Amino acid sequence: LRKNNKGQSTIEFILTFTSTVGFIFLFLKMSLNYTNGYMVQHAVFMASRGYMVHDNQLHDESFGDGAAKVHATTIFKKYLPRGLITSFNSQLEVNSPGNDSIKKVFVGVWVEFEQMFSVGFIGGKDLVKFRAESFLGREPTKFEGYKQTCEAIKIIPGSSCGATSHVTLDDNGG
Amino acid sequence: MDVVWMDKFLLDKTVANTKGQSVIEYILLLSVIAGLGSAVMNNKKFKGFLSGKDGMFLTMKKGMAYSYRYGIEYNNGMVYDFDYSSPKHPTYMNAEAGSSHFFTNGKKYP
Repeated sequence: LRKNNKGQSTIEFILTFTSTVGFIFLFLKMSLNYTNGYMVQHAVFMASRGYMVHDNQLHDESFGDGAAKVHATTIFKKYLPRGLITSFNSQLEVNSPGNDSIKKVFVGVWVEFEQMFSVGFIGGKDLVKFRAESFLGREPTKFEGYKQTCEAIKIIPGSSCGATSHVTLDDNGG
Repeated sequence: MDVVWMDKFLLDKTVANTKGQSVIEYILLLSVIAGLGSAVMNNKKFKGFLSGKDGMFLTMKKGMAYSYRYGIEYNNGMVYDFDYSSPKHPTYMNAEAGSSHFFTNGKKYP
């Protein structure tokens, strides 16, 4: 002990190095979480675009939203960089316009996924829940448009539906 | 005569050199710092500050999740959960104004 003081710097280095590296890893992981979040948000946004306009061209409106969900999920998987975001095992969820318990303004898609808060001993390895949402709505399908137009024509006076008022078919651009 | 002997004895046995002084002082200082560090780390308030219910790291986690979802800075007490059954989604609704963040035309479209 008394021959030299070579160990002093080593001990001090170990003491400061562990805490410093811990903080560096904390902020590094936080940055990665935000980056992953941006990538997932972009994938969700692209999926939402697909969900909004998808039309299966079928003469049955009941399958339209389901097919749109499948289409949106395909787009989401295409845009999600799974190689970069490890341990991502969440599924894309949809707020369908047919669901009456959901406000129409929130029709669209979302995904919830979890990431570790930190990798080091500082901050802990608890999971943080992230939810990316995109509510662009959903356009009526071609068949729904056709059906609505047909209904409107049907209520012209003299038709078998017994309507009593005139109907004007007008595209207001909405 | 006694004093002379004492001086000689001390000089020979105790203060022959000062090599050990820095080591002992270092150990003492290290133990004091370690003791202080341990006292701070085990302090209830400090533990609460770091990892309690409203601790720094938990607040950071909540803030990260909240601001990611809603795009709004998190403050203590803000509720994360939202089930789409009301229009009170923080991104959509301006709670202070009591109306939507979005706006539309004042007059009805013809």
